[in-house]
Amino acid sequence: MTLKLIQFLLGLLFCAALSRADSLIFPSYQIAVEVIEPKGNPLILNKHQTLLVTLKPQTSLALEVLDFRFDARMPQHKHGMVTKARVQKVGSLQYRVEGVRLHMPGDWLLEFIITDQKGQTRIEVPWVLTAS
Amino acid sequence: MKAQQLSRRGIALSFATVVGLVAVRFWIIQPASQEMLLKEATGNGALDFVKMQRTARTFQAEAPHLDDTDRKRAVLGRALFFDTDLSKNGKIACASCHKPDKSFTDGRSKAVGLSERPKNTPTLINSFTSFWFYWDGRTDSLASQSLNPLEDEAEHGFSRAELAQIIFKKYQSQYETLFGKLPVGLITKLRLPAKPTKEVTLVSDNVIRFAIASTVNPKLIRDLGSLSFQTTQAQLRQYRSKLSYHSDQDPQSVSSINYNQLTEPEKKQLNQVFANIGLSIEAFEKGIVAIESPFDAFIQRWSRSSDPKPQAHFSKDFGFKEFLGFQLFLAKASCQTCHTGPYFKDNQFHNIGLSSVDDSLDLGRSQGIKTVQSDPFNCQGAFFNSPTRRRSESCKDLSFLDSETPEAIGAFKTPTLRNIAETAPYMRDGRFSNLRQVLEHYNRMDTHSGVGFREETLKPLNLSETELEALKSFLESLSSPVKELTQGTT
Repeated sequence: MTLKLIQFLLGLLFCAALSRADSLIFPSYQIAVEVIEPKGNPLILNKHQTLLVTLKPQTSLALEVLDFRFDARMPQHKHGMVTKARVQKVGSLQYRVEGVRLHMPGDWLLEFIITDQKGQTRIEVPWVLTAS
Repeated sequence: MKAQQLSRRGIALSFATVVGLVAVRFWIIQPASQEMLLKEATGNGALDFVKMQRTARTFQAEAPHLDDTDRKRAVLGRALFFDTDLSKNGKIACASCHKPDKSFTDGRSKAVGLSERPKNTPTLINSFTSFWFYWDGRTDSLASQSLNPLEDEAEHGFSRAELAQIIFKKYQSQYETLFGKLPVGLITKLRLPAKPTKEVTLVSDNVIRFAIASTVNPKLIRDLGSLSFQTTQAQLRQYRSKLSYHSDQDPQSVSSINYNQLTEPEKKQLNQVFANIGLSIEAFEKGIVAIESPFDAFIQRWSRSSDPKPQAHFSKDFGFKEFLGFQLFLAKASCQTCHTGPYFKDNQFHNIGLSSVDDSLDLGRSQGIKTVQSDPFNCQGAFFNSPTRRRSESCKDLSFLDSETPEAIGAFKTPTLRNIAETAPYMRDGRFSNLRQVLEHYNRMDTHSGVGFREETLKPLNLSETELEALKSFLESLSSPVKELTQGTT
């Protein structure tokens, strides 16, 4: 179970690092994501899940996060989730994201949108779900 | 002599024809062709039977867990399900549309109660695995679903007050054993019929505007990806009048007036009896199960075996043809994108671009979301809010659903494919009379003509004749005897 979580977090960090080459993505933050409801799973197909997202600025400057949003899209399908996720701040750089349901198998793009004094950072993380 | 030769030739020709037909009938395909067909179905790579076997294990269906309460309630639920007294004309029961010998459907294009409904009757088999009900998901539990047809003017046309009186007259003892004392004082003084006006919250004007625009130019609207479109008030009024929604009662009707004369505590008592009827029917319906098909038997044999080669586990009713169909279903045809898992459904809503059969504007899930969120019998209401229900997948989603999501417009629920060969006609309006027509539809994918966006990944399947027949045979192998697991319990 722990291994799965570690794999998931590593996957996120890896993908975020990869996506830095994309001009739309800003490498300002490291993101850790934990699925807290139901506990112990990675993001899985067609289950209502709640995430705990922890942000870590990649700079020594003290940045205040003014806004944090989460969304997920399926670019090939040209649609997103069937639910509208809600974000609640639970710590200085920690957010509870409720109402996440990746309802179809295929290629998803998880979007973490962070607004701080420097502007908006959009980190996109690919996530693949298979049907069986 | 010549005549004899001709006759012999004729006999030989006839014999060859018969052999040929038998070969076609019994699907004689040489192993080499079989391998080629399988490779084509699974993406032309090397055939990995170990991986296929691992995938097959995820298709093992399980029977529902029914506790003692379910079994006791199901006895009353079953009696109510088949009782035609629960209708305005004394001729309509739940079983009128959900017939046990038709896998709990009715064989009609569209359901017919007191009058015709706009949609095809969905099956009830394995509904214990569903978490939205109706084609647009307007209810979030079997219990709340079962209440709707009883008061629908086109179905049973009854009222909760009349239902309470039937319970009092025919089922009092059974009811009181399960749910405690009936409010007899209230029931005997009720003026009949009595039910509240059904208040349906309609989708926003933005959604209607979007739906109108999408019928004019779906590609343009999709690319814009916004709900901001301009229409005149007259256009809006015109389209609003075409909306296919679920309000069917006049606030000035006798039923509404009688109901409104009750005090709030009386309404609560009456609604509790109504809700308990829903709980009873739900308990019965939870036990309607069909998971013993030739496909299930094959999956069980294959899953448990140390030999990953599927051929070793074929039987007379699940052979290569069905197996090829299964692999097409998983890979080349991608049916499992929506018909997922052992019950062949995903409990979600998709826009597959079917045109409306009439002039109505059916917004599907978009309106379904509005309706379920305002349903007093949803999992957040006063009646069906047990901790178990609040933990259900539908209840968790309920407050996170957004009717203005463009993808919800014109989207309808994925039906199960279990016993699909027994539940013709097909699609939400029963437009196709057999499975072959459905497969041909997906094989061609005609131009999108419905409202909203058609699921982008729906492309013509371009399957060959052999593949279409294999897919059809696979679907037919999903037919199973239907069992009522609660039958015979007391």
